[in-house]
Amino acid sequence: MKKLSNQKYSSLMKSLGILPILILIVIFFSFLNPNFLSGNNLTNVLRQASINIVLAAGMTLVILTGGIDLSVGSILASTAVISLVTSLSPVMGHLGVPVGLLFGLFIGIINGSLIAFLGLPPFIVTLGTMTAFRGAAYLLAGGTTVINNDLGFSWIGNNYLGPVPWLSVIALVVIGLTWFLLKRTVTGVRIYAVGGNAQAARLTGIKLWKIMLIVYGISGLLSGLAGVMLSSRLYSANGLLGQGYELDAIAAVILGGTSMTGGMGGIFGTLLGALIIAVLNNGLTIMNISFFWQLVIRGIVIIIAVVIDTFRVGRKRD
Amino acid sequence: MSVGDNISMNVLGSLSKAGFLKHSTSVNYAKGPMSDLNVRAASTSVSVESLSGGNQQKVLLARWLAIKPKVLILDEPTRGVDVGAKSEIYKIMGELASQGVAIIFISSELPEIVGVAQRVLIMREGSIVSEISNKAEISQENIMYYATGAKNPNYTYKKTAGKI
Repeated sequence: MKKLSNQKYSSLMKSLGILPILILIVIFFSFLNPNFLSGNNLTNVLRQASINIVLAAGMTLVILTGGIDLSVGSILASTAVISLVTSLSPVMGHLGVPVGLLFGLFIGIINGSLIAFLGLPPFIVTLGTMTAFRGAAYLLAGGTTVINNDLGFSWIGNNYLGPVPWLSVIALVVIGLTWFLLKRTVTGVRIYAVGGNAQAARLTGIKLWKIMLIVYGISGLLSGLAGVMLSSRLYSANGLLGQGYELDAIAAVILGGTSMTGGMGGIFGTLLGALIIAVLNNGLTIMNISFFWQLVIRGIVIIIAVVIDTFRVGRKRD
Repeated sequence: MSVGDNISMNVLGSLSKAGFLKHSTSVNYAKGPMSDLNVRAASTSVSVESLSGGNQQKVLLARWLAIKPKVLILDEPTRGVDVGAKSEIYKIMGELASQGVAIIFISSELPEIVGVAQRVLIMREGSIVSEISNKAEISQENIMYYATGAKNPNYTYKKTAGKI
């Protein structure tokens, strides 16, 4: 076998990202339990990862610009409720999905506007919308759970395209579209530029406000999609949905190698990060490990993965 | 970001079709400016952070030259740049000037002003305090005299039509 030169080796390692870690974890679990690699279980893992993948795709865009979106879980709850409520309405019954998506986009634009035009820090703004729209979700649901057994868009959460659940198809399409946005459009280059150095980007004529509205708007829209996906699976929605989901989304992005300072990273890393989280959850549950221990282990894996990644690629940290 | 992305940053609009950009487009575009300005880098996809200060400056020059400016303002372009790259930057400036680009060159390094400038405006505390239009009179001593007010203390700046 030809020996790879030093530079080729390090760029190969860089592009593989955390894939070796995912493979290691899969191998580890398949040794411990033969059921892990069954088609049924792998489909489960992919389905369980789908909602986080969609949230994490939007989060990738936001974190690439050096920002953060803490409101994704609350947007998920609000849009889940509002699309369920819409689906029950005699007049607008078939508009459940578009209403949910538009509501998510609307909240995302609110986030983006506060950040772009008032110059408020993303952490604070999205902390505020996270809190406000958690309350809104409860209010919209009238304080209870909204149920629709006859849900028009229930196929999203429960049916399959061939052997693949629609939830996963949607998640993978979202990954593909986000990749295209980042790597094949002018806007994508500008997103990386703003993340790398916002002032330098501004000085080359990039309109920062446009980029902020785009990334936070898309994050909101995708959170709305996630809300539609979850309520579709549950045939119901309430204000409790999605609590803590923002942390899993952020974890997937960080595990995937996107730097919190912005300007570095990509969508495939995020996909791998979300899969690692889902595989961990699934494998540990099969092993009958308590949920609380699962949280501890998940946190440790995140820290280890980031440490390995930082040292292996020799990335400069300012 | 990569060298290629940095160089093509200003012309992304014209390189793209309806907002869509093939990766190879900006890579191929950047190769020309990179060799014209003699930017020393392994390829257009290396990160700009890995280049020396002088080469980073040349990347920036390439970026702004892409829009074919008629007036180029350079503010201390050779600060922190190694000697070899410095002379390359002067050479580039000379070529631009001979092509008709007006260059406003802001510097506090007297030797390079004397070497490069055809006309010097000297400023102190926010105001223009003197002007040297005769190339023969551009010297470090004269600039210092005017800058400190030792000579020509009553100079007032007058705008002439057609001239800055």
